[in-house]
Amino acid sequence: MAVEVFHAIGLTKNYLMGEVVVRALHDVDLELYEREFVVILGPSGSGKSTLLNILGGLDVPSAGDVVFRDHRLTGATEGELTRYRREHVGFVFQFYNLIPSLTARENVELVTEIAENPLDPCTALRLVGLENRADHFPSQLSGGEQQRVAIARAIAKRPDVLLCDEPTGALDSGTGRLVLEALAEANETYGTTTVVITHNAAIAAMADRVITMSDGTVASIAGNPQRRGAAEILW
Amino acid sequence: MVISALFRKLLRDLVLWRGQIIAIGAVTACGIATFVTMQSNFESMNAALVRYYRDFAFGDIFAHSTRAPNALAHRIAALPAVQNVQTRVVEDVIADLPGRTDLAGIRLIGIPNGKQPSLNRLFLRVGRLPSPTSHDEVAISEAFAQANHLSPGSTIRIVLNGRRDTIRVVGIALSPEYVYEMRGAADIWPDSRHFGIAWMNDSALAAAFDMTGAFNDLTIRLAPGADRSATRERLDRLLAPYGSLGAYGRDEQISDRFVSNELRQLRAQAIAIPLIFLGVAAFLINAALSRLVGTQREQIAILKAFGYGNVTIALHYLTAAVLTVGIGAAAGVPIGWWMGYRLAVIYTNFFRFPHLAFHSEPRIAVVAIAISLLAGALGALWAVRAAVSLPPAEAMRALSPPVFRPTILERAGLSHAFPPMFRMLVRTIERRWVPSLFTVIALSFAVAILFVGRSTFDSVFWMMDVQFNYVSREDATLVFNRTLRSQARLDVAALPGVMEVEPFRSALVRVSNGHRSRRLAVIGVESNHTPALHRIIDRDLREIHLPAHGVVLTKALATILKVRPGSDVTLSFYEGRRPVVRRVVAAVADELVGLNVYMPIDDLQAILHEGPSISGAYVRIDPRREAAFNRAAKTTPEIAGISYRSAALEEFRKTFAESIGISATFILGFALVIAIGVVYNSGRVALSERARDLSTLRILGYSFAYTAVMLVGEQALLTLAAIPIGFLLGLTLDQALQPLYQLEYYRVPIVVAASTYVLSAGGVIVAAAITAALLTNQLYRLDIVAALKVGE
Repeated sequence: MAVEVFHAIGLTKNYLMGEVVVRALHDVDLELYEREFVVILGPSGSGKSTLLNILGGLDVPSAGDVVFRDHRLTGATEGELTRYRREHVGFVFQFYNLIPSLTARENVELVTEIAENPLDPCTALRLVGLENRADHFPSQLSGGEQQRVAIARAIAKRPDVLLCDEPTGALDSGTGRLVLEALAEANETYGTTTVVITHNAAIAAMADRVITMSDGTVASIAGNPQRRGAAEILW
Repeated sequence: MVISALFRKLLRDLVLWRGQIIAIGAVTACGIATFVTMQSNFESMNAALVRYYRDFAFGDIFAHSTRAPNALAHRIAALPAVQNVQTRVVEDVIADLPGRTDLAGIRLIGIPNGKQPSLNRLFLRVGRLPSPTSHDEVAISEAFAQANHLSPGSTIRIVLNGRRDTIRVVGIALSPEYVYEMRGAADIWPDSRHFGIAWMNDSALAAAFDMTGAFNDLTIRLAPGADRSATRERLDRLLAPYGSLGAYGRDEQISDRFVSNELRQLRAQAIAIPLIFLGVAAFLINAALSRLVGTQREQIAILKAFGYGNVTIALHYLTAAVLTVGIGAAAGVPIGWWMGYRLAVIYTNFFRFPHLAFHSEPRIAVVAIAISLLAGALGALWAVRAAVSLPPAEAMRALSPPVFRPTILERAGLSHAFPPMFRMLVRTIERRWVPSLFTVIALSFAVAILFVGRSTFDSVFWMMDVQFNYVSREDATLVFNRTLRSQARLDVAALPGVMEVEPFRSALVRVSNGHRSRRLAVIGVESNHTPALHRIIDRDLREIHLPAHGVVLTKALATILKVRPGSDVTLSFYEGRRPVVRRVVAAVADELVGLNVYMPIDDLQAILHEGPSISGAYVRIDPRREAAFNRAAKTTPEIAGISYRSAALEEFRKTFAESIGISATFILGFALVIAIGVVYNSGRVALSERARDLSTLRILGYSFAYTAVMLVGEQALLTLAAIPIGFLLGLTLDQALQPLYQLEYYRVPIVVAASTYVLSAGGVIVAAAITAALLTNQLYRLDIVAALKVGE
């Protein structure tokens, strides 16, 4: 029996966008397990990112409850959420979100400096195949390279969960595949629970489970008995 | 040393933002430089003064009488709390300087033969004291020596009690009594070309003035903590039978009063002026840092996502602010040292110390830097708060389109009257009204600083204009060595070149209202005719006619005594039988210089129980016959002193105008720094905020010129809005700073010349134009496609 990592019940999130109230999540129940690779599919505005942000302790739900192992994230103070993110979560974003004024290595160091038992930044960069680009600034790297630095940065702290928001959304298929390989590698090597949100249904083939969302609710959850490697994915 | 990745990011951000960092740093540097200049000079001068007074035994109480026997000195020394008494003879004489046609006044002060006096000791700069037996050797004051190119070996012809005589300079000296070397309260500033001190052996001086065995001046040193006013009253009683002109303390000693006033002013300015600069710097920090936080929303979110805490993020941006002002302060301190040194050099023209070494305690630099860091931290608070309160997930989302609403123009139905570009500008300003308002406030500070800097000089020049063109219209003022019969006016009128004579009778009094009092000269002038030379004027520069009874006080004196027209004042005379009378204040004269009391000359003569008599005269001289007038005046023994209006004006132009010129340059420079700093900062912020929109316009086919006008236009509108506010702010600052410039003797009015309005607005407009050029250049180099890729 797999160990439960996340347990969410009745998650609801409303927020104000300009002068419009947006209902981003509505009554979502969800469990995630140790070591599993989950892909969340859904169109824009279906609530994927909001769900990911709440799981990552970046955002708090308007209603409902979410628990990470023995940490209850709802009702946690800002300090507790900060510590939770520092100790347990790695993030990868669609637009990489590297600090432009820091080199690849320094971007990774930004995380290793505050983590308890991090990887060596060079090791993290080697895992994504960028050990030779360590002293390059983001502006000197291609999109795929930047995203791999972001992955190195996310896994360098040896997180318990890796949350990836459209990690290949801004990349062509070849580069995207390299990034997915890096994610799969991290999942294999460190047993990190990995959640990837994407528009791209093809990526679902890599997952242990696929969660489909629409209009802020979970439309379906499907197991994937035949996981494929990143290389086998048809874009 | 391991530098954290976060700190490296900070340093690289600062390099990227160097334009604004330099602008903020420059404003900080100005504030710190002013603080260091003023505070260091205050401390240097204060220390020099304290040391000077202590080491050279400056007296505590001073008194002048007609003639008192030397034996009285023992009774004075026996008064309680009196530690030391120094008696001497002091006489003012007319001097005939080598190679000069005009006349100078010299105050001869007796010293124990060949020795230093026990009080008010002399500092010998060059040469020696008169030898014990000499009759004609003198040490002269340094300011007088320099102004007239005199040195040991020079000789000066003087009129000694009606006899022509020659004195020989053997030394150049300084005295704590004459740090500020003024003849008397009637003068406006030192005129060292026409007035100086000469110290000579007391016995020789006494012999020349029939004062052997007597004295007419004394100084007392009191035991620490003694009751000054009690001693002063006892001394007055002892001296009364000998024609005492009233004892007075250091607070009424002219030199000390001017030095103390200057010190008070310096100390107040050391606080007030840097406050303005650092306030503006704090504001700029806030504007720049808020913007930095705005552009780094995502980065902050990422840091938070990785688990960086609020304290770390707050410290990150706080460090940016502190480094910025720290760099400015570090530059400001040496600039302050340099400016302070320059100011100290100027001070040595006015204030004479044995050693006025400019010294700036390291503590001042430390305090200056600490103050600036505090200002930086205060300026950063708001931006830091914004960074900390940014919810991490919120920061990851794209900014929702800013809310625009129809502007005032459109709601008023005027939208079609303006082109779309103008509507865009107005909407932008209106939507971002808080930052726009702050920019306007900062710009108006730049206008105001220029305004205040200039209007200070307007006030001084206006004072001079009033003093010399409305009040003192005489060419020269003659002071007699004693009171003469009224017929003497005819003798004065008979001097060659004299075209008009207005005699006066002056007498020393203590004028009081309750416990408020001042020791000064009351001036009796003819009330039955319209004075053409020395006039008494009201606030509208109209002449005041003296009533038959009653007195007219100058505004400064009326303020000190807290009296108004209709109030009574008490006049306690120090002459004759020392009468005490009460007179009603008939009017207040708006003279800006001096503490004066005017009364009808016949009333004054009646009070003093004397017939028609005069003690001096204002004269108008035919300029073509000035030399002849001076030659005749030299040989007139009754003339003890003469002061020339043209000399006072010349002195003003030379020394004051020069020092004013230097400080005007500093102020102008500083105001331009603020103006450029503020305009550049707000323009740079606008550019980074508008880069995306402007690039979009370019891609849609708008010209570069169009987008440049969009960018610069907003700054132009804000600058125009700031100008009238700056004028108002400048007037308010003038009001607030006015007390700093008030000396007891001067009443500095707030005067603003039209040129000041033009210059303060023009200075900021020029700064704005320079900035507009810089910004346009940056806009030109903007990669429009890259700008579109960067999410807000």
